[in-house]
Amino acid sequence: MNSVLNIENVTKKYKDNTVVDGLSLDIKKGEVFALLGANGAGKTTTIKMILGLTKISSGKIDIEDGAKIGYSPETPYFPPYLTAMEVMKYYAGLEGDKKRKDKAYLKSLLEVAGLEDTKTRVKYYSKGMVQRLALAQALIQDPDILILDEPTAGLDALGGKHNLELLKSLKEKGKTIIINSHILHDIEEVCDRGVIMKKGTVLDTWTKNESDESLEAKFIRLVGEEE
Amino acid sequence: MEITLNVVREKIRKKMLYITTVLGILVVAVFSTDVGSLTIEGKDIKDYYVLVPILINVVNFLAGAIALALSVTTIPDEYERRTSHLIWSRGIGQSRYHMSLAAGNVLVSWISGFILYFTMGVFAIVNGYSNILGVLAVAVLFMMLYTTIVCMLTTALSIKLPPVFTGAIMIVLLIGGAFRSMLTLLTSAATGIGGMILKRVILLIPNLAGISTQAGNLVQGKLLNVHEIIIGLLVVWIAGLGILLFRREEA
Repeated sequence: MNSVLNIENVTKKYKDNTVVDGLSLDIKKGEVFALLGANGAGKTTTIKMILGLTKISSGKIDIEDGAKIGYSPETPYFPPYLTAMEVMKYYAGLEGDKKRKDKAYLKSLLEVAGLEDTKTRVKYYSKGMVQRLALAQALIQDPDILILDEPTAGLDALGGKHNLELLKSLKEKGKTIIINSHILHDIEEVCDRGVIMKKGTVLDTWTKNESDESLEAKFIRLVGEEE
Repeated sequence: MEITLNVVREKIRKKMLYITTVLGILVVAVFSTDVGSLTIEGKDIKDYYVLVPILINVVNFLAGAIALALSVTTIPDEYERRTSHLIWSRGIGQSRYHMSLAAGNVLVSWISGFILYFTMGVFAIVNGYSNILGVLAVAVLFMMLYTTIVCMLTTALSIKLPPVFTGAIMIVLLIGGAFRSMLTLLTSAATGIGGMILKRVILLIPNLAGISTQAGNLVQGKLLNVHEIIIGLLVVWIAGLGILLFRREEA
């Protein structure tokens, strides 16, 4: 498989505090890749560096030429006075592709994410609904790489299951997906591979069905040992 | 364009625009009726040709204050609530992002100013001075320059400073700008190094009153001082450069 995202010896420092330390990853096309770790492991910073939201202190990140990236943030926040459809039109407009502004297309994305096109403004949305909207907007430009930071956070059991099914269908369509999640059961269900991080470094890699040990057991063994 | 329109839409839906303009309309109404009759040296000012230039100064100052209130939190809010993440991640650079937000601030302030001038026009008709509507319409252009200066400076400062500091600096500039001639006059007699520094500091305050005075001159059929307008445009250009160049480290 071709590599769509290559991270080479990347370090991120905030003054004297090293948040990501010499991280190297190679993510293949069509892979669902997990960034795992306890709070403060450097997962979100890694995502921010991939997206260019924060500068890299050293190292390099190569993304396949022309690859479109969709991003759903950890704590999504949308202009509160807009409806879901207005949010979708807003972000579609930013991407400058007129065909993506088509109402029927955007409505279909909302439905895929489990939302309806209603007059309700986002400020009245539950956390789970905002999470779904975050996923819907990430799909607007039909991205090649989808980066999801805690995609099931704040969702109830049904919402979480719905999102997992959606991720599986996106995987079947050949999308490359990078997920940062604390919910290891979800990761084990949908991801192919991943890394377990702590304090900005990779403790170990994980591959689906690599051994009889569950991901949760491996995670606790590695992160717990370090604690 | 989407970002700019979203700023306008948000300010309208947050009702910020309504609240500020209702206050402005009240002031215009008070000045334009007998309730708020204006007296200079013991004489009541009833002549609209005399009253309008004064009213323009007041309305422009109000429009400037509204522009400041509307602009001061636009950029800090975007970063605080992290709406910037989904903008930057779409490959939109900071310069374009900040400039689009600034344009939104300017548009909202103009809308607010238009409402104030419309109110002034209505009171001119009520008082039987419908013949000045034409010049009043041209005077709107000066309000647009006035509020653009305030919006652009506020937006530029707000990229780097917290809203409370931006607000404080801009209140000083707004009030200082409205009384710039008076300040220049007061400091003209000052001498020594202190006096020299004071004069230089006052030079840094945009002469907002000078812009309003030109609108008043227009109403009274007097000559315009183009110099004041050019200086005003120069301030907009400098603030615009600031908006393009100032950076935030993180989205």
